Amino acid sequence: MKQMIILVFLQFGIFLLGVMAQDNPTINHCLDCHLDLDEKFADPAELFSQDIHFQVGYTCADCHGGDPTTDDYDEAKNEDMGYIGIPEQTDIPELCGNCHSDPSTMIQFNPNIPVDQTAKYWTSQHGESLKKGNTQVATCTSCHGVHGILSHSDSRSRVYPGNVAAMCTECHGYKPLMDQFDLPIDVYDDYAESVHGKAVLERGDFSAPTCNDCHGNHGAKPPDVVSVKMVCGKCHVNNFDLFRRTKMSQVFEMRDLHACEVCHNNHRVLHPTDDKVSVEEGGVCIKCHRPGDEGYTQSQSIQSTLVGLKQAILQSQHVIADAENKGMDVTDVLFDIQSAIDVLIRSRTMIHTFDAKEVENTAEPGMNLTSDALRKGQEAIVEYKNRRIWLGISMFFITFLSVILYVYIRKIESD
Amino acid sequence: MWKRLRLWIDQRFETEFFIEFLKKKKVPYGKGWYWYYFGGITLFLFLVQVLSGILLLLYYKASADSAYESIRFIMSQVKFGWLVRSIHSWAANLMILAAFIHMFSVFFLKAYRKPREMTWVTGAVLLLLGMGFGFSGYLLPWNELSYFATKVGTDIIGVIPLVGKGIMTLLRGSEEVTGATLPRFYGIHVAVLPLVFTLILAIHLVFVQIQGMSEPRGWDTLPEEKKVYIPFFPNFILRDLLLWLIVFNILAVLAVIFPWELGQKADLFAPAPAGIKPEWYFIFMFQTLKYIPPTILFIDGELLGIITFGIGGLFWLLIPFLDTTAEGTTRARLIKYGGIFILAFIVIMTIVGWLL
Repeated sequence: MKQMIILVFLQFGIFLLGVMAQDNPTINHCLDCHLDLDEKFADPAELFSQDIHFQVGYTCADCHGGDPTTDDYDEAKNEDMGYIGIPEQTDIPELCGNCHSDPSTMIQFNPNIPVDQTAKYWTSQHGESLKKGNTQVATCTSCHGVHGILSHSDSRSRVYPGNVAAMCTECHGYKPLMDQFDLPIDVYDDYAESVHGKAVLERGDFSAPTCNDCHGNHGAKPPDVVSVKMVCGKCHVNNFDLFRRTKMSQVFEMRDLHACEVCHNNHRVLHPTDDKVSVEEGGVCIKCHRPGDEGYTQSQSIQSTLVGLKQAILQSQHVIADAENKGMDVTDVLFDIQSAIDVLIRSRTMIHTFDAKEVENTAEPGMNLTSDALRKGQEAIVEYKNRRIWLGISMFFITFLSVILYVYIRKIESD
Repeated sequence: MWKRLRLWIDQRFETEFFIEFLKKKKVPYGKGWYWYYFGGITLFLFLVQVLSGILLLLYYKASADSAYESIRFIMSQVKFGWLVRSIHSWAANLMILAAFIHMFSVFFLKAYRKPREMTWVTGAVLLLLGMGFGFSGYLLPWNELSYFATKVGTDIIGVIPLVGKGIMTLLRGSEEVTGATLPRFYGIHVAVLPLVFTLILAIHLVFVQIQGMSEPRGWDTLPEEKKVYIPFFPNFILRDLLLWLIVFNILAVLAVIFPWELGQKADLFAPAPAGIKPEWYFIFMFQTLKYIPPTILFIDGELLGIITFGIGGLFWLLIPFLDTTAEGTTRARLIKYGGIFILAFIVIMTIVGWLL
């Protein structure tokens, strides 16, 4: 009878374990104790229950070592069971790499997931400093978090594209830390002002780059002279293609100038205006070119072409708007103007050839389109006036005829 | 030369009889004579519609892919195309307005009384057909406004019990207003309606010619010497012509100063823009249906509204057969006040619908 009772309890125990295993198939008694402790110990446990590693069945012991299957403090934290406590900062990359650099492990979760993060990390500015023993640098947990690590596609994640800039700024905006590396702390402000920052931070447009898109994520470092144009060229393909064929590209490299950055800035990439290609104040060409040299003349010509086309577009738009306000149908002309605007955009792209003739040739169809549009707009306004003149003339004749008819009716009716 | 030509024609077609008929025909010239001319104005505007419609037919393409573009082509590329289209649109609206005025003037002058009952009936049918012209023609530019107005309009037809769904599907060519609807409306606008309209118009005009113009109220007690008439030809015809010239002048001013807009091309997947309204002559019905509660005594409110309009329209059509008692009787007075109420209702609901 006694054996029967024990057997029934055992069966019940196995059943309970089975039910618990359906929620989380892995036994992790660390959480049971930590959740009952004060905030210092409970918070990591609380966070870990949201962690992506916990979701796929990893336990505290997979990073900290020890035995998670026992609720005995000493047994759980037994160093013989591999318990290491809080990992050293210098050990973190390899600790994460134990799994993340192992293709056979990572393939279980995502067949396309990269496994070179640790290798890349050691090539990064952060990794190189860490190798030299500087622990004031970022490791995996600095960016991804410690116990509450979320997928990069989760908008709450620290490494979600919209959060990356703010996350990097935690260190790169911290003066005491950056002073140690002689690095500026205004990068975030510059980025937030840039076209890229406005797209990412204000409009949530993640096709625009954030920090890791230019610097790399795990292998983060500043792009060097040669690779700047490659980095920008990832997205600005046409501009890159035009630029790399120019003499300027070679001259920039020789003079250790950072290609795109020289004219557009690095973090503070503002919306370019035609005034930038100018030898006037605010122009970028006069940074290097002086009156009389070829670049100076080319800059003047390029700006003249672009401003000329832009003004021609504005003028035709003004005339067309006037015609539209007068009720004339000028839809076809609006298409022409849109085509001219496309030509202007292409012409602006051709700035990257630094060849005034190329820019002029590209802009020429736009000038033709705008002069056509202007002519059609002016014709529409003349037509508008003519319509009223002809209306007046026809009204005069119809009224005249009406008066004659009226007089005739009066005459025959009075007879 | 002129006499020889007349003789030549008369020897072959015996036109002398017709000219004599016109010369002898007289038109009463008493109180409210000016109302007599609105029938002629409506006829003139219909002729303008026929002529301008034929010109538009030369370039219009009735398919969802090209209807809008073809109208744009007419307005921007075809010589005087803008004018023809604008005149067609303005004349359509003025024609309906003139027809309404003509109808109510006939009503209040009680010109529909015996023997002109069928002239009234054919006239009322002509107004309905005219509104049908407007409804079918409204979709043809295939613009945003016309597309959604047609959708709302055909939805209302679909509410009619038993036949509503069938008529709606027949008109639309499917469950929804699509590219298949356009050729149907085009066919109705340029073939079916003109054929039926011309036939009934001819009957209406023959009735008018045979029975002559109705004499003003009170003339039956007037001594013969106090009754004033003018010859139909040339006096009345010339007066008609004078008014046609004036209306043509107004039409030209409207068409040139306020050219009819084309709007945005219909996008079947776009949400309906705010402020969708039918043509002004449907607004009083549209606005009334908006005010009717969704259900009244377990009956669908919209359905009840449509049935009420249908019965009301039928009564209106049969007015000459209901108003047969002498003037001054209770029934005659009731019909007069009923007419005043209907006119006031139409005017007020149109203004309210237009402003809101």
